[in-house]
Amino acid sequence: MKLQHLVLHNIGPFHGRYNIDFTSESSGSGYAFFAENNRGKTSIYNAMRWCLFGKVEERAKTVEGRRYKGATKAIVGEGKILMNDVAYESDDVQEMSVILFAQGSRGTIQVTRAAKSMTKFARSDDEIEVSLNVKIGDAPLLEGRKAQEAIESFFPTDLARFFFIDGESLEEYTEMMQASSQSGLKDEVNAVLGIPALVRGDEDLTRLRRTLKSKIDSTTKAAKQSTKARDDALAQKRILKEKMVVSDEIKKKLEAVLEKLEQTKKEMETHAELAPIVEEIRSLDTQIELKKANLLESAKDKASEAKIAWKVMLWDRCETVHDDFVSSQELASTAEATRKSTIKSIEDLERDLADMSGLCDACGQPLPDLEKYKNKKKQELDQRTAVLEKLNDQVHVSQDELAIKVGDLKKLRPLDDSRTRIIAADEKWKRMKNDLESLNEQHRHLNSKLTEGKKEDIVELGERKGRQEAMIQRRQNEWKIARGEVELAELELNRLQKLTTGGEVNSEDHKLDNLIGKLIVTVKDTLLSYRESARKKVELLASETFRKMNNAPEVYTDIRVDKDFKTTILNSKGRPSRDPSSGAVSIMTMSVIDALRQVSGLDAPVFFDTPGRSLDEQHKEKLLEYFWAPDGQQFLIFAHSGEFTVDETLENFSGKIARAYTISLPGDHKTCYKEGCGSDDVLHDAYGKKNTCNSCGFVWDLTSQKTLLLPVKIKEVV
Amino acid sequence: MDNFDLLKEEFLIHGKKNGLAPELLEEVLQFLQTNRNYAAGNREHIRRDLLKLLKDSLGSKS
Repeated sequence: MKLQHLVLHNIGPFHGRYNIDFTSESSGSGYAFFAENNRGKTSIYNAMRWCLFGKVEERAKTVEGRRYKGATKAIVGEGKILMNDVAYESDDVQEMSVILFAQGSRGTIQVTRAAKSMTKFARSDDEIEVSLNVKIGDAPLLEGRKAQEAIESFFPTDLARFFFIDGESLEEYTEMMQASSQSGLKDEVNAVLGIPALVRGDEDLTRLRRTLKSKIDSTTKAAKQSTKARDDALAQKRILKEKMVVSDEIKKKLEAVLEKLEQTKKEMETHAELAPIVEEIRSLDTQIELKKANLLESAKDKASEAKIAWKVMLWDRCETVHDDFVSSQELASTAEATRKSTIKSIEDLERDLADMSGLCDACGQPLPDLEKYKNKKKQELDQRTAVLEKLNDQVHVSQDELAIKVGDLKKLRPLDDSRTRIIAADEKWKRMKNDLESLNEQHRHLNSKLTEGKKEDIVELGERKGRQEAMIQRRQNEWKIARGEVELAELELNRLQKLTTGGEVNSEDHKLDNLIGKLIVTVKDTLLSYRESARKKVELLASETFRKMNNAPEVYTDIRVDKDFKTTILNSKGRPSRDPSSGAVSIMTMSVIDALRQVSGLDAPVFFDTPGRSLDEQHKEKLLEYFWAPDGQQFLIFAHSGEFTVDETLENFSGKIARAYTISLPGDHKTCYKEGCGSDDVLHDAYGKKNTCNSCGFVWDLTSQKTLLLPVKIKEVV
Repeated sequence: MDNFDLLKEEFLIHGKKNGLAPELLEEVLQFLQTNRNYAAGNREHIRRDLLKLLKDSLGSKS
């Protein structure tokens, strides 16, 4: 992939739009940006990173071999931001963008990332909307996540460290490479070695196989279920067949009985005129049987009632005697009562006479007519005494004797309704007997109308019809049950037949599973051996590069890369150098980074910020000598004037350098910087703070903060 | 010989040991290499294409 253009808009010190052209007819792969500090070298470097990855991180720090990521730079806000300060603080619309044009194997690539405030003045990135779109060749424009995925396909984030090299972080790289812990570089090394192709391939194949296995397993399970269902269905078919046979047999039997019944009915029709008589006789038979039973019951009732008939009859005879005794009892009782009252009245009279003093109880005066009164009482006493004597003379049977006699007779007395019940029972029995005789008479009468033979035939036909009808009822019930069982068996068969579908084992799936399994084994085996092969390759390439770039190839001959990609400089005797120079160590680091970049096989430009830091002149020269090889990968350096001067670099690397730019402010220029002039005949106005070119008349404001990105004229090499 | 050749060499050696055809191995590796930079979470379409590739290879074999 070759970078063609980079368009910066309101990013870093670049206010407005700046187009950086990377196209060149030269075969050189060198590209350089020269500037003093704080003019915008790193901003271009960061603009590229932001355009590709959507974020720019501050320099990472490494403490005891452990790498700590730098914070992500904000687009807007306080402190150092990505957006140009003037655009952020003064422009009507706060926006910035970077557009990258490149030529790749799939055609022209255009990546556009833009940031724009969603509010009148965005105070933080939360108020900034970032958009991304990517156009590759003739393919449709990709946006958002798809666009980022496309970038990843030609410029993966995890390899960024090997393409965006920060000279100021070279020590950090060195520390990571020399430290016992490789946690900082491990992922990148793996990525560079192309191991992700295998690792992700392994993951892809494993997931494919898992899905396939799941499908095969479920198919196998379904096949097992289907087979079982088929077996069950076959068994169910047999059951259904048996049930149908049973049902058919019952049906046939039913039909046979129905047929016989029809026949019986036809036979009965031949005796149709006698049938009512027969029916009536049969009815009479039933009635007679019933009557007989009733008569028997009635006879029993009658006999039961008759058990006390003797009492009734005896009472008829002794009732009068009983009543006489009762009357005598009453008379005796009355006489006794009279006698007792008479005795009492006699006693009262006698006491009165005895007690009579002749004086008034109240006043004590002698009573008048006492004698008269006494005589009257004596007469009355005499009368009573005569009555008592008369009563005493009367002869009576004793009351106790009478009570015994009455009691004995009462035992013979029946209940009041006994007679009525005996009569009613008798009358009922007689009535029933008459009814029975009447029925028997009717029976005899009807019987006389039939010959014995016909009667037997009709009776036999009736009985047969009854039996057949009962049999039909039974058969119909049996057939109903049998049909129900057939229907149930059919339903079960249908259910099982539905389960028999599906579950066909696909042999293609098994073949595919086998193939994927072999590929997974291949990938895993390759991963095991390839890392070692790659290590050797990295070691070889890094050593080759190291020998080309280090200024003492006779002392420091090789680089050893161990299994953890820990690196060591070896001396001419093949032993680790005890105290290599800092320049040699930096070159070792660069060599290993380059070796890793080479083995990554990724076709992308390399961006090297502050490349000369910590290198001496000779190493710096050798570095560019190596990286700016003709027809090599684009190699961009962002150099401070202290690292590389423009003139010397152009002089020393003419033919290897394709494009170069200076980044400056107007105040930096003492010679005319107008394109095509370059005159050093300049009038400096310290008071007015401006310079005027005496050759072309161009005037520039020395206080202007407008960043100048000026192309450097490259000498053509003949 | 660049890195890819080295990887291919190793891959072919191990694949052949597992009884896989060199043409298929080359095709699969090329595919994995081409799609190596797609993130793990966005490889559904890659897997779909890989499956198609493998199915096609079985079809051509039969």
